[in-house]
Formats: sequence, structure tokens, C-alpha cells
Amino acid sequence: MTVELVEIRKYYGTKRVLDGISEKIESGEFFVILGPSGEGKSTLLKVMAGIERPDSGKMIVDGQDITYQPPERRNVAMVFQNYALYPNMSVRDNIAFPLKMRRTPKKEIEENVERVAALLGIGEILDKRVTVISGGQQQRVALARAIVRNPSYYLLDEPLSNLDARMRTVARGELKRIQKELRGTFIYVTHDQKEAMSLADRVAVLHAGKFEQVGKPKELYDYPRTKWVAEFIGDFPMNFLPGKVLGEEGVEVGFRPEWAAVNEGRMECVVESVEAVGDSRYLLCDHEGHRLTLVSRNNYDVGDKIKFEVNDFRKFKDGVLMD
Amino acid sequence: MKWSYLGAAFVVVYFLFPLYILVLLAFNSPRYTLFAKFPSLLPIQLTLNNLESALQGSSFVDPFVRSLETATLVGVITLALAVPAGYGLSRLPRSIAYPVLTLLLVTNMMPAIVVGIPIAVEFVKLHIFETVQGLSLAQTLVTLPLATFILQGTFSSIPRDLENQARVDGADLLHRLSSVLIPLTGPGMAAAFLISWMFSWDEFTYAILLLPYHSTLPVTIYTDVTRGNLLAGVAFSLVFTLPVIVLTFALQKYLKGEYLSGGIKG
Repeated sequence: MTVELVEIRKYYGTKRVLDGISEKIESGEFFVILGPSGEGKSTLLKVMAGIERPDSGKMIVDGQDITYQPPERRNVAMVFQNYALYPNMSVRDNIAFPLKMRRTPKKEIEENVERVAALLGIGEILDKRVTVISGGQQQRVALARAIVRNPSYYLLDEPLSNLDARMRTVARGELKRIQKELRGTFIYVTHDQKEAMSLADRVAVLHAGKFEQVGKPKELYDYPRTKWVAEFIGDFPMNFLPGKVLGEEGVEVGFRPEWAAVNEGRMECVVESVEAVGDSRYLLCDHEGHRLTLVSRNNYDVGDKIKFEVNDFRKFKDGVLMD
Repeated sequence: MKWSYLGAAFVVVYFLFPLYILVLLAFNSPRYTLFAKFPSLLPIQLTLNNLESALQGSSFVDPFVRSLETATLVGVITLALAVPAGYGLSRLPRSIAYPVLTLLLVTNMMPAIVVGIPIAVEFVKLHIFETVQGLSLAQTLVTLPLATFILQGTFSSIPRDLENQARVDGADLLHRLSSVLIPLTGPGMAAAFLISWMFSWDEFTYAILLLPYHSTLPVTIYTDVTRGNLLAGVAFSLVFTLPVIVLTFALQKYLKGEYLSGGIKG
């Protein structure tokens, strides 16, 4: 189902947490809301779930205004960051709970629980208590409970952040596969830009209560609308140099590490530290007082003077991308 | 270090000595205790005759049963009212909930004897004077604020997201309480019930004011002791402590918090 937000605002006292959020999320889309901690991502998700009421604005799902519907009357599923499994119930009862609350016939409940348990590979642990299973299994149970019925849209609040790094990569792939299989509208909140880039059909970057930019991951990476997005997205922030390197005043030149070639050209910098990622070496270096990140296949030592050339770049004026 | 053991030993003896005297009176032949000029502090002639004669007949059984009824009723009424009250208070902002809790506890600052007499008058009109139900209602006056306080804390300790999850899963308020929240308040409910039960079990002032003729065990012990039936009083006192011990052990497993820990990570 399509989910439409219209000018959603939410204040805590005088603090503006959400300051006019508008976006239309398409049916079957994997939509990721990305932003640093404390920027109101979870608040936005709670507004979408109906747990919190917005101070103004509307939420429209499939043409219906549900802004003031409480969560129990919305057809929504949610996975919380801490999974929020019911500790007094078995895995089976946890997954069955949303169906029980909707008075689904017993036989149907059983079939559905078995089906999602098989889909997520947790058929073996259905009769265990949720307190004795591993963190990865708990995450699957929470996901199973969300997909056991057919909600209009799914909300996921950093569901992978409690997993260790390797498990997270596996779970990420699984999540994407399940979303495609269900053709569900997934709205996913994270602070991890890598996660956002690999999962999303579209990413919305939340900053200062607004969507600073919404677009495909590639768009956000290649054409960040503001300097803030440029620095937040990417494993390494975008490099910035004053416009006078191009002979232009009042602008800034931004480029990604891989848009510059090392050992060519006439610009020079001094290597300050080296970080190896796979078979690439990311060189943090100093160019006339500006910190830059460059990337090369070759290894360099700290203190080496290297030449580089910027092949591709974007121009920013007052922190905003110029056309 | 050794001195601290000595201190502990002193405290233990200080608290257990009255209990020892009680046991001595109950099982020693009265010739060496009540009727002796210099009562012995050691068991000399053990006998069960004292207990046997005292516990026979309705003078013991009826007050004992009434006490059990009252205490259990107080526990049940208290829980029935304190669970919704505690839940409500735990969901209110602190700036409202804390003053309310304080006000609740203020009611306990009034002496029972001051409150008891007007209550007695009112109960006569309502035809619940001299009934176990009436007495239970009056005693709930004291236990309810404490139980509400305990349960408010228990409900507050349950992560908010657990209830949010239940809402998203389609549970209305009653289902949230019955399926998710109340099963997790086991320890708090056990503590609240235990406190209410034990308070009512040895409550005296309301009992003597509201149930004066066929009263509970504490009042019966009092009348026995003051009217010279000392041995009966002693025997009753001994039996009087047993249910408290039994109940405490029975509910002890719920007083551990393992329920709340799993499944939810901060």
C-alpha cells in the first residue's frame, strides 16, 4: 500500500523534532530513513505506527487518512530495535499473537506460524521460550511476528543493530529477499548509511527534523544535495576544497575519494594515516591545511608526499549542490 | 571482624528471645512457667497438653478462620484495585503521578482509631458492621496505597516498547493488560499481596472497632490474655505465626525477578 506523509510536525516542548515531513512512499517500496542518532527517526516511525500523535500534518495510507487512528486499529506491523518479544510466551505464541488479537481461526494461525517459521528458518525453536534463544534468533522471531499477517505497511526500527557485524550482513540479505517476496511496503529506520545504501530502493536523509534529501542510493552518493548529506553518506565523507583551485570564488569543490587519481597530476598532499579496506588503501592526507581522503591500490607510508588529480567533482555554494 | 559477629549474634538473640519464651510457654508444663515464682528459662517438662486443650473447640477455630478470610479478602480487593491504579499511574507523566502517589500515602498518616470510629458508624448504616467483608474494606484503606505504590513501580519497569508492540499487534487495553502486562507483574503482585495479607493478618484497631463481638485472631488473643486465659493466648500466638511463614515461602519464588530480564535488551 502507498504511504503518504503530509507536512508531519512534532514538537517536544519547544524542541522541534519533526519539522514538516512530506513524502509519498510507493507500494512495495523498500524505503529507508537514514539519519544520525537523536534526529527523531524513531519518533517519525512512532508517528507512522500511531503510537505518537503528530502535532500537525496528515498520514494517508492507500487513500485513507489514518493520522489519528491508534495503532491497534491500523493494519501495521512493526519490529522494534530491542525486538520487544513477549518474555512470558513461547516463540510460537509470540508469532501467533497478532493473529490471535485479530480473532483468526485456530487452524489458520497454525498454518501461518508454520509458514513464516519455515521462511525464516526458525521452525526448530517454535516451542522454546524467547528468553533462551540467541540474539539472531530473537531478531528472526520479531521479524516473523511482523510478517505473519498481511499488513498495509511494515515499520522497522534499526532491527539489525543488536546483531554482530557478520550476522548483520546475512540478515540484511535475508530481509531484502523477504521484502521482495512479500512485495511489502517496508519503512526502515537506521543510522548506518551502509545498511541504507545496500537495502533501500530509496533513502531519505533525516536532518534537523526534515528530509534533507530523498533519492536512490546511487543518487545520494553521486549527487548529494547538500554538503551535510555529502559528508554523512559514504564510508568516507566527501572531500571539500575551496573553489579557488578551479579559479572560482565563493564555491566549494567536493569529490569522492575514488573520483581522484593518485600519482598523477600536479596537486600534492602529505599522507597522515593509511586505512586498508579490502585491497584498497584509503589515504588520509593533508593538502594545504585541508584534510582529504584518497584511495589507491598501492601502499604508502605516513609522511609520504603524493601527487593527485581530481577527475570528477561537484560544486557546492553555501553548502548546497549547484546544478 | 570477630566483633561484628558478636553484634550480629546479639541482634539475633534480641529478636528471637521473645519467640523462644513463647515456645517455652507453649510446650513447657505451666507448673514451671506461668505458675512458678521463678519461671525457668529452660525446657524442663515438655508437654502437648497446653496446645491440645487450647486449640480444641470453637474459641480458636472460628477466629482463625475469620482471620484467614479477612486477610485473603483484603489481599484480593487490594490487588483488584491496585493493578489498574498502578498501571494508570505508571502511564501518567511523573509530574502528575508522583504527587498522587504521595497523597495516597498521606492517608496512612491518620491513626486508624480516628478513622475507624466514623467508619464504624457508617458501616452500621450500611449493614456491614460486624462482618468480615466490612472489616476487609476498612483494612484495604491501609494496604491499597502501599500496593499501588509497589505495582506502579512494577508496571514502570516493563519497557514501554513492549506495550507499544502489543498495540501494533492489535491488542486493545484489556488484552494488553491480560496477555502481556499482568503476566509480567508476577513479582510485584506477589509482593503487594503478601504485604496486604500480612498487614491484615495482625491488624488490631479496625478489627476491634468493626468486628468487636466475633472477632479475628489478634483480638481473640488480646481478650484471652487480658482475661486470664493466658495459656490459650500463648497457643494461639504460636499458631498465629505459622501461616505467615508458609505464605512467605510459598510466594518466595515469585519475588525473584527472572521473569522480567529475558527477551528485552536495553
